[in-house]
Amino acid sequence: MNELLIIIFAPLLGGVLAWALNVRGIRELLGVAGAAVPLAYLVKLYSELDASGQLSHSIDFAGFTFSFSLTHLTWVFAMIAGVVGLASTIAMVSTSRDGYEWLFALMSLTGAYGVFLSFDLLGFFIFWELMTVGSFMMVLKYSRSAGLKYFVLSVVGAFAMFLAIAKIYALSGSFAFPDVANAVYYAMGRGDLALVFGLFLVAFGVKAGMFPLHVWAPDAYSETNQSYTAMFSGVLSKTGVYGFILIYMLIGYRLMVEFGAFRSAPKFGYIIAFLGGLTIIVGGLLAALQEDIRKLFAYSSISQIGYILVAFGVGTSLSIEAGIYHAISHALFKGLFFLIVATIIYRTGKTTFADMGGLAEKMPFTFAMAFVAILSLAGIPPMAGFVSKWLIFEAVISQNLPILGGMVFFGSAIGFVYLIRFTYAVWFGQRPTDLDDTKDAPLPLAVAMAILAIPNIVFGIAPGLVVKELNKIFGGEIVTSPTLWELNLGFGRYNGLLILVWLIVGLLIAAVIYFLGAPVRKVPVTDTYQSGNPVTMEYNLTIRRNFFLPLKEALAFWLRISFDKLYRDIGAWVEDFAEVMRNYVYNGNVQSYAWYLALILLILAMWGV
Amino acid sequence: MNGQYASLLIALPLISAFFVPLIKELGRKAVMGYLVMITALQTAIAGWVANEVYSTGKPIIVIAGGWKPPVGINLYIGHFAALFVLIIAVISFFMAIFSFRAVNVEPVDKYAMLFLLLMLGATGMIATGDIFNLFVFMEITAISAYALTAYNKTGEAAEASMKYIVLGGIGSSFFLIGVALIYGATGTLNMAHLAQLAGAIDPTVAQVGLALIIFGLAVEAELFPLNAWAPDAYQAAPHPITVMFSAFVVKAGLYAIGRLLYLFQGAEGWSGLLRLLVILATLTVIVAELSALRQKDAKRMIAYSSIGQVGMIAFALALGTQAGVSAGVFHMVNHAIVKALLFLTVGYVGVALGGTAIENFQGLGKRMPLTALTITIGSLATVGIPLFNIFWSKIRILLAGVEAGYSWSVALILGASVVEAVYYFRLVHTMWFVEGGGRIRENFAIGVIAIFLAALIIVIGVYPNDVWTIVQKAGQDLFNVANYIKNVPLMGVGA
Repeated sequence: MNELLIIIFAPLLGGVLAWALNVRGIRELLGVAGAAVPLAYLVKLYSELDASGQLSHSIDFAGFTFSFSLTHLTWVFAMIAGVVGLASTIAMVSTSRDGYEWLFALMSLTGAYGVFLSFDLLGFFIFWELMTVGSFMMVLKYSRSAGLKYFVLSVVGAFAMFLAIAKIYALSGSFAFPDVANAVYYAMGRGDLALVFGLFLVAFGVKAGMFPLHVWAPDAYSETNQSYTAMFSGVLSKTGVYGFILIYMLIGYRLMVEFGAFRSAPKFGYIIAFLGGLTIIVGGLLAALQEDIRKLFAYSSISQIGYILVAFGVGTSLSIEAGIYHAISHALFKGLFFLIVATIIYRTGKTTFADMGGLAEKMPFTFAMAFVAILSLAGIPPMAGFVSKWLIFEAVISQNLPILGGMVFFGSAIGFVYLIRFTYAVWFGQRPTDLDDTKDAPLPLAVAMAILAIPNIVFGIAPGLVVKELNKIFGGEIVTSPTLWELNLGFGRYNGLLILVWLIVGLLIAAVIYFLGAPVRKVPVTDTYQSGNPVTMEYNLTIRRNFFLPLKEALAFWLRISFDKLYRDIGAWVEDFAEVMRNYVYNGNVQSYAWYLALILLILAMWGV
Repeated sequence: MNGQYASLLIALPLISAFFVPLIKELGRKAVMGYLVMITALQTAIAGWVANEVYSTGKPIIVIAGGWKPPVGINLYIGHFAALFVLIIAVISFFMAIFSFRAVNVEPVDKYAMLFLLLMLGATGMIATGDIFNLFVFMEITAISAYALTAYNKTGEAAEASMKYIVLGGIGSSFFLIGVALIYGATGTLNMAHLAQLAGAIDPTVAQVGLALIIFGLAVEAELFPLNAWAPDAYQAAPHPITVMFSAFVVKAGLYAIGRLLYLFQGAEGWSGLLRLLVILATLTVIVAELSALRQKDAKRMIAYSSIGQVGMIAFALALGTQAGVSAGVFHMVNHAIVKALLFLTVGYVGVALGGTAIENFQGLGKRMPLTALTITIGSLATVGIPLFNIFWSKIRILLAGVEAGYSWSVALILGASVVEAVYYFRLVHTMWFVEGGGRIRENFAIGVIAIFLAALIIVIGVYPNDVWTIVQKAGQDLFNVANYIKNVPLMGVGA
């Protein structure tokens, strides 16, 4: 059997076996093996890929030809699936209790691999659906309303994609990417082109969680096994991101030619980037207002995906490379965050800030992991998150796009706002007495977190590793990397090792000052909000409850505008309409039914018969 | 073996139906056993015929009474008919077994007779090569269907049957007028001969005749808005009969539309008629799916869903392309399997729990795990999820639709599919994630049938290649009229 097919189907096979046997121990072993095998093959195939540039395989099935291809681009995305998928399944050993979850979690992983490795639109669509079904089943088990919302939006997205694919197929008579790109470039009309772009935008936007199609994500991410959410947010959302690259690959040139540019970005790209920017802001602000850690990270994940969309939208090689870099670091730090949440829930059974505090002492290892994740997400060197965000800033600014630049900067600021809350409310401060005997992470979760934490640090200190790989996608030196530690854009430089050294020096100096400095003063927990100043407002805000109430009040007007509510209203409206229509059409009166027949006869007569 | 034995497909159920009164005295068990035996025999014959047709690649032309066509009536069992006669026989066999459990209302001897006549009528509609004969078989099907709809003897059943009679009656009278017009213009009733002469008919007569014929058949094929009888009839009929309605009675009507449409493709105004059919089919899908959305009764919900799927088949057949017809035939096969499974299992829940209201499905995953699992498989298949059979035929239909230039139609059908996904989602959620009553023992035979059908769904879903080859041949049989004409020996009277 071909190696590419093994990579794609190994998880599904593992999942089906785990579900069918459903024996504790064997189930977990099969599940983890299902996630580990593709990763092993990806590593093994690397040298072959490096030598030939592309590994392809195609099969005839059901009257269609399906092609699969491993290129430098798809290898990078498949590796994201491999690493995060493995970490997530290892974590599931602790948090998952039945075969059902193993089956569907691994089914969605197979879908994700299939999406990345497919080299034709039909295969892409089929695996996309498979992935959606698997993840939907994972949500359905925990919550009906979250599942329904996710399902409906996903189905809408998938059908939009299908319509676009059908449009293209009618034109090209083939699903294979090269044929599609050709047909679109030479034969597609302006109207159809805009339609196909719009449909793809909806399809990929839903999966990536792009504003205003993001509404499913906060509920779906939080209403499922949090170990699985690491994969959900880390890998599955990347398929949407990958879809945006596909837009460039398949219809990008033609769109550029047909619709031109806005400022220095292609016009269609600017739409993506602007929506991405809104995603950053909306996701970030809403993340700050959450009282539930799962929701906080769900919104934060949405916000961070916005960065990738901004980067892709700008449309230069540098910005797309920066976007892919951020896709990698997003998968790493977001996956890590959700595993941390999984650990916290596993050990405490609590999910809201109000019930937490002072866990750093009790869970030192988890706290260390959280520290890495926080630094990486906040974009503090020397973490992977810093490098990718820095690249995105540089890419946006160098193209002279101030609005997008502003959105990106705002996102970073709001990132600190919500992270400070997570940092303090969960790990420091007073510990509720019922958390006094909390234990640290169990072994599988600890291993899983370590798997994601290490690359977070390594890719920050040695960005050359990643950049070297990403440059191969474009076949040129987009970002030069003189040494492993250094990046050079021509107009900006970054040296991970140097920063690390200075950071350590700085920390040492700070430590010296701390130990020589003023004596420690104890302050009550309620004082932290005002940094020790007397409380002047009527309400008492602690970091654990309504910490950002003033922000919420300031935003009250905007918060009333909810796309979630809009979609619900549309849904309710459709249901009402359906009911009214049914009552009129199938009214149970045989006389009116007979009139329908007469009506159709009349139409037949008028039709020219 | 002589191909003429294929006439047993018609003769066997007809003769057996008349023998039912003789064994009536032996009691209910004997009658039901007799039904199972006859349908098993029919399945064997149909299997032999299908094997014969597909291995030789040639249709079997049965010439009745030695009168050669176009003077006499002939049966034309080509790739399509062979496939569907087999499907009819297999489904009837399964339903005969299901009837043991599901039908307790007396008089079962009448039930058995009507059951066999319904099977006979549908078989005949698909197998015949003569347009008037088609009308006769359609009437046999319809009249036994009217009677079976009312079989449960409830007020609702009588009302549903009454509606069906009124609408079906109007439909078939118009069909007959259409046939008369065409006969007047051509002087022949043989379908192959008609196809030859189609181009030469007076355009007005051809248009009116064809339009009336299609109009008449559209009632049987459940096209909106001529399908108003269907939800009531589906719900009121005994459970096995509902399965037969959905799995093959409506398919026979669809087949007749498809066959006659392509036979007359030479006629004037043909493409206009196709366009009208596409519009009606699209409306059928939308209205049916929306109507299903808030159903409180699972059987009725699935009935609407079945109408929606049938609309999609009609859409495919009306596209006028080879790709569309093949996809439509594929969908017919898949829909027959899936809806047979769904109506069977839902009907079984109705028998076991005393009704098919959605509340009865609460916690079914714990109460009747096998039944719930198979309903789930059927539901997921209907929604069109990959790895289930309908996925393949659905994408083929939609691709063919866009290729034929009906993007708006495809978009609307996809929109309706979202609605379909929602109500099946609710059913699945109700079954697995809502608490219900205690465990119930499931019937072995019905379980075996359900598992067989569910396995078929997944096998075709995972490995559609073989079935696709078969249905492609069946689709060509329907689409390639020149071949059809060539295969019928017309004694040289043709043009």
